Formats: sequence, C-alpha cells, structure tokens
Amino acid sequence: MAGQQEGRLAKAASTLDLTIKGATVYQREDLVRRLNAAKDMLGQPSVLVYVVGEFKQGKSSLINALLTAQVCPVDDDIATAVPTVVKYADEPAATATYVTEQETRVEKIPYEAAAGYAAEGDPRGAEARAKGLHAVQIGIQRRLLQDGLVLVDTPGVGGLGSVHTTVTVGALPQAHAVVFCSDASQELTAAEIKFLKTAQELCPTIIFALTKTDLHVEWRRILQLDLAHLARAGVTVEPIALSSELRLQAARRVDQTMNAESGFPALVAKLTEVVADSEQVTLKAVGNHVHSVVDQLEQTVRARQSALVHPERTAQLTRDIADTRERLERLKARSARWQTLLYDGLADVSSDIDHDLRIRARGVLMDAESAIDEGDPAKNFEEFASWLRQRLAGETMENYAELIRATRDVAGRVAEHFELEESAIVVPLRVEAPVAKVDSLELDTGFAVASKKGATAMAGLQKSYGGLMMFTMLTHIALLAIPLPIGLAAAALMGRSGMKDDRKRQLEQRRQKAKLAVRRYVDEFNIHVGKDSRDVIRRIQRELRDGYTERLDELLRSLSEALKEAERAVQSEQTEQQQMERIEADLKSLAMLRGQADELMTQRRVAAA
Amino acid sequence: MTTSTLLARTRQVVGDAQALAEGTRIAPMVAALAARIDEPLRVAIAGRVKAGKSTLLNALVGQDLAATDAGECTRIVTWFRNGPAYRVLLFPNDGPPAQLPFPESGSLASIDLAGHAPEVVSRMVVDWPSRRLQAMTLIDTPGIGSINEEISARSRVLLTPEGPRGSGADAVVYLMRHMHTDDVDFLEAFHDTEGQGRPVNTIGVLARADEVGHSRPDALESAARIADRYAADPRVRRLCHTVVPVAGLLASCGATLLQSEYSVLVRLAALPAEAREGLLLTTDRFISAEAGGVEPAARLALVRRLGLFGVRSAVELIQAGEAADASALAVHLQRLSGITTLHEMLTTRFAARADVLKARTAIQALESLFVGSPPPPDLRRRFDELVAGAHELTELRLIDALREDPTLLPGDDGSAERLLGSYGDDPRTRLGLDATADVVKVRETALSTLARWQREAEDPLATRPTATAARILVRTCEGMLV
Repeated sequence: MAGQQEGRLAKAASTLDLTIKGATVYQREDLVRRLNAAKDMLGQPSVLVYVVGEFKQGKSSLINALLTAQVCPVDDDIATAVPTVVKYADEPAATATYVTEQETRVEKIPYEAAAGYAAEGDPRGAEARAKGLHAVQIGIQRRLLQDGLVLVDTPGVGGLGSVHTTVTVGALPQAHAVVFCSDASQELTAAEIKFLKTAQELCPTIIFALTKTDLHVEWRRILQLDLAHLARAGVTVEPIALSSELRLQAARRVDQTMNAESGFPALVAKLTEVVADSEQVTLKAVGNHVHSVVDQLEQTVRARQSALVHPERTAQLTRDIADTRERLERLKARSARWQTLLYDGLADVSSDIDHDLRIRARGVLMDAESAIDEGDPAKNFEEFASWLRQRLAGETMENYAELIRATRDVAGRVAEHFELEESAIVVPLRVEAPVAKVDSLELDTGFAVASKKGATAMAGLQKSYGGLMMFTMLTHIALLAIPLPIGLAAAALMGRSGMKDDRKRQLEQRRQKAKLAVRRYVDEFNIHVGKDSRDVIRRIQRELRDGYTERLDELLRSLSEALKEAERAVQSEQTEQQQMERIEADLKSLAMLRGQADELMTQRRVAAA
Repeated sequence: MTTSTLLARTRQVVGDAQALAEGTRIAPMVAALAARIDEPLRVAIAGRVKAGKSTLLNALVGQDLAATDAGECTRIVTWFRNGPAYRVLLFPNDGPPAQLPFPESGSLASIDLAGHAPEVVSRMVVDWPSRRLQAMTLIDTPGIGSINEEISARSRVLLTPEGPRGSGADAVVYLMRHMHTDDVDFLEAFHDTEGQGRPVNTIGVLARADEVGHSRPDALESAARIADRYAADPRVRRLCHTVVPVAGLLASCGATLLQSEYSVLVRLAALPAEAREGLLLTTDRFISAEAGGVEPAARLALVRRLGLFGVRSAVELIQAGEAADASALAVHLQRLSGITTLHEMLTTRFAARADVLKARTAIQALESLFVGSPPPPDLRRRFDELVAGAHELTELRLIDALREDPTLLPGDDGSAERLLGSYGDDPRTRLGLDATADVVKVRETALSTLARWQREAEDPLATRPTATAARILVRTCEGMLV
C-alpha cells in the first residue's frame, strides 16, 4: 500500500519535473512558477479527519482502538481537554503546542505522557493548560497513517468544563472528513442533530460512528432510529457500527474474526477511501496543471512546425497572426466581463453577509435585553456574559459558513466564463471565522459590582477569556442547540429578581446600565466582525482576480510565443531537416507528458482493507 | 421541633382563605391548595432523554409500571400515587378527564390512550395501591433534550416555575448520565426563583451507573467516584443537595427478579469458564452464540432486563456462592445498584422534611394567589405572621444561600449546613452527635454551638450577611434548647 502510494506521488512529482524542464527550455518562467506551486501541493499530503461528538461518547477510545495504541486519554470520568493530533512518524514522538498572548511555542514532551497532557483531570495536563496548552501532537508508526491521514481527537462538547475548552473548529472547513461519535446507549439528541446539520455544511464527508455496540443489545434499533432522525433532518452520513473494546480485545488475542465483529475494518476502509479521494483530487489537479502547460507548449511547437512544413509559409503566418489577434480580442472582451462579474458578485455577497450579520446581532440583542428585563443583572452576570459571547460566536460561525458558500458560488460562476476544469477553479484558501474577536471585545460590567462575588468572578472570566484563546466552535454550535428557546435560556441564566419595592429603582438602573453595556458590546461586535468579513471578501476578491489574471497572462503569452516561434522558424539558420527533427522530438515528449498526466488523473487506488 | 406546627398553621391560614374564597373565581384553586397540604410529598423524576427515569421509577415502586424501551419512550407526564384501587385517569389539555382501562399486563407500556394523541394529553394519573407510594407521589416526566421539542417542553412546564398554576412538584430527583450543560441549564431554570427548586429539595442521580467506564467490573466504583466529584463541584452544589450513583437496570430487575430469570443465570454460571467469557464479551455474542442449555430467546430477555453488566455481576455473585436463591440475588442487585441509598435519602431527607416543603409550596402558592386577588387585611396579617414565624423556611433559605456562596460564613467547616438540618431534622443529627447521645450531651453541645455562632454574629468585623446568617444559626440552636 505504502509502496504504491509513494509510487504514485513520486510519479506525479517526476512528471512535474519533466514538465518544468520542458517549460524552462521554452523559457516560460511563468509556467515554471505554476508547476512549482503544484509540486508544493504534493509535498504535504495531509488528510485531516476530525473525530467529534458529545463528551463521553468514546471518541478517544475510537482512535486508540483504530490505531491499537494508547495515544488519547481514556478514562471513566475525566474527559479530553485539548485536541490531540495523531499523525505518522517513524519513531513514537509527541509535542505540545502552547499558545500565549506573546508567542506560539512547540515543545517536545515524553511520548508516554502525551495522553496525560490532553486529559482534563491530569495534574500535568492542568499545569500545561495553565501555561496555555493548545494542542498535543503525537507521531506514531502505523500503516493507516502513512498515507498522510491525520486524526484529530477533539474535546467533547456539552461537558461541564467544555465552555472553556479550546478547539478551533473554524478549521472544520479544512477537514476532509468528520467522524461523529454517538454511543449506542441512546438515540441522537436535538443538540447532536443540530451539530451534524452544521457540520455537514462545512465538511463534505461525515462518518457516523455508533460506538459501544458491544454493551447495548438494542444497538441495531438505535442505529435505525438515528438514521431515521438524520434522514428527517436532511443530513447524509455514512453509518458504521463500532466496538472499540472488541477491537482492542481482538488485537490482544490476534483474532481476525473478532476484529471483523468490532466493525473497525469498515472504518479503516472508509478512511482509506477518504485518503484516496483526497489524493485523487491532488493528483487530478497536478494532471490538470501538466495538461494545461503541455497544451500551451505544444501550441508554440506546432506554430513552428506549421511554419516549416507548409510551403506557403507567409500566408500561413498571416493567418496565424489573424487568428491570434482574434483570440486576444476575444479574451480581452471576456476579461472585461469576468471582472465585472467578479466585482459585482462579491459586492453583492459583501452586502448580503453584512446584512445577515446585523440581523443576527439584532436577534441576539433582543434576546439579551428581554432577559435583562426579566432578571437582575447583578446576579449571575458572568453566566449571562458567557452566554452572550457564545451566542455571538455561534452566529459569527453561521454567518461565515454563509460567506464561504456565497463566495464559492461566485468563484464558480467566474470560472464558467473561462470554461475551466473544476480543479482549476481558483478557490480562496483559508477563511476563518473571527470568533476570537468576540472574546477580545470587552463587556462593561461595572453595574455588576453591586455583588461582591459577581465582581471577582467577572475579573476571572475576563482573564480566562482574554488573549489569543480560541473559541471552541464545536462547543458553540452545540451550546446553541440547547433545546430551550434561547430567550428562555438567557432569562434562566439571569438571576430572577426577588426584590422588594424600595429596591426596584436601583434594579431598574442596573438593568438600564446592563442594557447599555450589552448594546455597546453588540455594536463593537458588529463593527469588528463586520470589518473582518469585509476584509475577507476583499482578500478573496484579490486572490480570485490575481489567480484568473495569471491564467489569462499565461494564455496570452503562449499565443505570442507561438507567433514568435513561427517567425523564428522562417528566419532560422538551422536546416529545415534539423528543425523538423527537434520539433518531432519535442512533440513526442509533450505527448508523453500528456499521457503521464492522464494516467495520474484516471488511476484509482485499490482501497486497502 | 415546630415543623408539624408550621404545617398546621399553614393549613389553618389556607383553610381561612378557602372559606373566604367560597363562591369566587379563585375558589377551585384555593380548594386544590387545601387538598394538596394533606397529600403526600410530590417527587418528580426528571432528566435528559434516556437517562433512565422510568426505569428508576419502576425500581422505586418495585413494579414494572412505567413503560421502558431502548428508544425514547415516555411522552406523557405521568403521576403515580397511592390509591385504593388500580385506576388510570387521563387529563386532556382541554375537556374532562377520562378513565382508561388498566392494562392487563400491569405495565403502562401497553396502555391504550382511547384515541387521545399524546400531544393533547396534559398528564396521566395512575392510582396504584402501594406501601411505597404512601410516603410520596412519584411523577415520571419525558426527557429534556429530546429531538421532539414538544416533549421536552412539557417537562419544563411541569418543573419550572413558568408552568401554569405553579410547579407541580415539591422535590425533584434529577437524573444525569454525565453532567451536561443541558442539565445545568435545566436545573438552573428550575432552581431560579424564590421557591420551587432549590438545592435542598433536589437530589442528583448519576444514572446508568453500570455503563460508566464501558461497564468494566469496576464501573460502579468509578460511578461512585464521579458522583462524589459532581457533588463537590460548586456548580453542581448550587443545584443539587447531593449526587448519588444508581444503576437503574440492576435496581428495577432486583426489585422484580423472577425465579425463571434466576435459573437462567444459574445455568449461565455453570458453563465452563471459556464458553461463559466468550458469551459475556458482547451483547451480540450473548444473544446469538451457542451455549449449552440456555436458549437464545431467554438470554435476549435477560440482557434486556439486566444489561450486560448486570448479567456479568449476577453470574459472578452466583459463582461466588453469594446468591443461593432468587431473593438473595435480588437483595444483592438492589444493594449494588445504589437504589437502597437513594431510597434511604428520599425517606430520611425528603420525607422528613416533607411537611416543611409542603408548607413552603402552599405558602408560595398562596402568595402568588394574593397578587391577583388581594386578601382582606386580617387574612393578610395572619399570612404575614405565618411567614415571619416560620424559622424552618429561613433555615431552608440559608442552606440555599450557603450553597450559592460558600464564603458566606467564613468560619464554617461544613457544620452549619448540618446544623440547619440538611442531613436530617433530628437534633442529634443536626449537632453531629451519635444517635445514642444522651439528653445532657445534646444540651451541652447545643449550648457550645450556640455560643460559637453567637460570637460570629457579634464579631464587629463580620459583614452584614455573615452576621445575619450567624443569627439564624443562633436561633436554630435556641430552638433546640427550649
């Protein structure tokens, strides 16, 4: 498996090298640049798979059983506190990433202790988290990971400690697949369904892992019920029933039948497929690049050939020039059109997204104000503040999902104009929702000082929320799904007032102040997040424009090169025979390159069991 | 103690209100209030979906009454109360209650709602002659966090103060599997008013304890550890009196173990070790593999009732010779399950405080009635006297306040809550003395405790809330001395 894998990527690399050589000979440094970029893409074949789910659903056990190694923390009580990234390494190794306000630092840690670092209750883990532990990376030698598969174990959502856990699932759009764990003890809950719905929009492949099937006699019925719920919610998943316990037992006893019974072979096959698919996408892109370069080079060679072969050289040349000019004109006209399309399209997106954000913020504001009206801001204000932040972070996330969808749409429409292959579409690379912004904004809490306890808790809250601490997107999505109507939840968080009449006025004042603070906060939110999303759109616009302009320039240059070559052929000192021989040779190697590119694009790997 | 008199005084005020309300719009409400004072304590069993609420209820009643299933199952709020005869009454959202025929199976799993869709039923009331239901009426609720929003909403209406006619329950047993943010929200919503749900009348149950830690043999010990951790967590302390682990399947099966089930377990225990271990590895193997003498259907029925952990434990108990017959096994299972502890807690803590809790519920209900229809000055005065004189209620409030803010009494070593009667109403328990301590000893301890809190109350450096709290404790001590 590994050999074949390396063979394919190596082949792709050597094809690229050959093409680069060819382009260099023809002095097309623009094409060389593009091919080099494609080569970089081959260099980092990581396929990210996130393992997610509510807490205590067997996520860490699943990874451990999958790799038959204790890489992730598993305990009856304590839960995973920071994400663990597991990837291939020849020797077992582990590192910890710390993120503080000043720096991001990666430190080597003992491999055996790695699981402890990621666990909630472990003293070492607690110490490391106090220092700003952000993630634990573990390298382990496993065949399954050799092809670039990277598994990410995430802290579960919904746990008591989860409000402050740090998972960046702003990265979810970059995941190649998501494994969602839910155990067989009960059917899916409303929060889980809501989470899956959001995940589906951000990630193309969702593997639904029903865990702990060894314990629950009715697991088949639970699976049926779950799939029915998901079908009703319009979520498509690939269900796999698993027993991590059985897989570990099977590994201990070297029992293949038991391994088959555990359901893991199906998961391995599925993950291999995900890896193969993502590799396929990469190889297809490489093939496309090679194709397009070969086409352009061939054009030059052919121009020269036709100038030589045909006796009526001059006439041919004139016709070529006319053709070229016509094509240039056409492209220019097109270029005008695509630019308009791009600008208009993204301007629309920008205003839509901005509007969407404002509507969302207003909804939150209204809920918050009615909650304040029903309660006393001096009580439970810290819970209320964290509710507000979570709610806004969640809204930001959904707003950005919308943004990504809309810009992709525009990019696709522009691409249609070029009749480009799908893989050649210029796609904006990284878009992350600025949820951290929500954290960094300050919520004025002066009015809560009335309660001594509230004040100190508030300071602690500010501290723990400040800085570069990233919001847990997963948590937020799930928290939003709390099946209480959100307004009610907020009201419940806000201490209910049991005041006597004489204190009513003070209470009213506190409410006014709280409302003012919340309004200011939401205003800030609008300004910062709105600015960020406009920036993102502008950046996307630039990226798209530059990307497409580059392609256009290449094409234009190819045309003029072809013209020059034809002229050069006519004036050449070399004999016709020599020139023809070289042209034949060039065409042959170009054809060979094209053949190799085709091979890269069509070959499918045999899925490993 | 004066608890009985508080209830008596409350009953009197409610009685007066009833006489006054005769013939007015609020008459039925006051009448209901008056009737409720003499009813047993109402304990609601609440929690997230599939936490095992119905299973626990069956275990508490000692009868497979409530329907249980692998899928989400309880859809109607159902009251189980002691009654002279078996009877099921169904209360639609509108319209008169309808009596339903009692299912022959004895379980509500097969009840016929006589054409009523569960959505239009506000509640069902089951009368069941049972000694266990004499002390308290149990209320089974649909789970929160359900896919079906409406089902979840119904429990919230019953249990949170927003519900019409106030809350239906005096106390709550809250089941959770692991503490989930949903749970905290729910408990907070329930607990967040002057009154209804307070930590004093909420017991947290770490349910399905047998499934903790992947049902390994030490699952129950792990569960106990987790429950202790939750009980000590300040976020949970604010919401629950305490947290105890319960393995519902073991408990309900222990309560209703059949001789036939016992004999299947005996035959399993007699299998050769290797065959038995293979069989008990997974549920799939347990119900399908070849095993001498025990037919798969019997095994399926058994594992449904007891769970894999339960079967493993029962087989082990039989092998160890600790369960010579069905009743011995049943006792062991009940003890293992933790239901005995929960039951004891309900009877000692809730039931002993039942009068105060009921008086409190009545006082609150009366107060909210007075908001809509102000009483005559005389009744108002007597009502205020009742409230002012109820030191028991003050004690309850202080327990809650201590839970809310443990720094309220800086010098407290945990004895303040005990003194307030959180762990039992008896003076000896309150003072932390042995049950055998004599009157002299009780008096001496009460005096020294009194002096201690007196000092706190008069400490010039104490903040006002601290001094107030200490004065309440002083009065509690005084109450024990008169």
